[in-house]
Amino acid sequence: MSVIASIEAEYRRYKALADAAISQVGDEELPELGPGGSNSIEILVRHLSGNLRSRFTDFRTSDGEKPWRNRDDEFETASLSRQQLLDGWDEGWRVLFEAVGGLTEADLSATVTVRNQPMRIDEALHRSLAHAAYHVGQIVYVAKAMRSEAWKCLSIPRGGSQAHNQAARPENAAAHAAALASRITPRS
Amino acid sequence: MTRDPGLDQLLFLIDTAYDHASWHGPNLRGALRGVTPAVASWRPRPGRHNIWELLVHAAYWKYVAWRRLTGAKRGSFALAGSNWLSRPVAATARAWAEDLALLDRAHTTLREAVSALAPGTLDRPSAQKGVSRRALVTGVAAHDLYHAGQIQLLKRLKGGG
Repeated sequence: MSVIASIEAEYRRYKALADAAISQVGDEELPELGPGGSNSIEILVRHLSGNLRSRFTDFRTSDGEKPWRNRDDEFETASLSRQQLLDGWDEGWRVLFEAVGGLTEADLSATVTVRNQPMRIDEALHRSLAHAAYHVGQIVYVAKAMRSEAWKCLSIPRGGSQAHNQAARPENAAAHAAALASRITPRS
Repeated sequence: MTRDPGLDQLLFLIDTAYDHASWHGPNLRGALRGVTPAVASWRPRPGRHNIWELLVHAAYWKYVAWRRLTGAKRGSFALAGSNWLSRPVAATARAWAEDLALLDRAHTTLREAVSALAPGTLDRPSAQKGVSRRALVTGVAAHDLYHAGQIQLLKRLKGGG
């Protein structure tokens, strides 16, 4: 698996984790502050998708911090409907996957800038993946706190490791993302 | 022997996710810095993981990645059990320090295994079904950060961060 394929697979895994977590949360819970007054799922979703849209729009040809991005606004409650929120979320990831899909391994040593700081494309991708995984962990944590006992586990449940290890299915990120997607119950 | 630049990329990735200066905010070791055994043991409610268990879980998966890179046999993790281990056994400073050291060792051991990979072999399969060596190590870095973000939330909830 190439560098780009391995990074893209991890991006898809973490998007799927967040999707599966968000699908378990009620509309009214999306803007609720997280544990200890921390960011709500709505804020985390808007921040991460805003970051991705800024970083990966015209990825090769313009700075990753776009003049049109209002980062501070991402941390304000916006009272969006679930559909509005998810539309923005999906758009951020769409921009990311489109940019990553247009890359070849030969592009990885080329330079892009983020806030005028030059960096190799592979470094920019690694940084972005790190940022995404960090906030998806928080989205999942906040959603799990809201669902409590009704939470549907997104990974190997406590006590389920042996059965998981004996399963014959592939264990890569794509398989994990597909398994997560199959568990989502669409909300009306 | 020519050094594989892909190895340096992977080492950069796992190091910044773990304990090297990172652009994205606290990495895993940074999130654990200054955490006391009391904070590490605290659960937001019964049955939820505490910071201590997240630490051992991260150490366990670094060990699993090492095993899958090197082909070592199962069952050699330093602690009995797998994936999610109940913690603390004793909420003491010594026990906390021992598990922090366990995590550090797991990272160092994994790092050494990545460094020792032969040039040009990153895209070969690991011992994990359907997962290349490169994908395996990339996944470990993301996993560290996934839980670092959660540790930051737990610290805030407890009021210890």
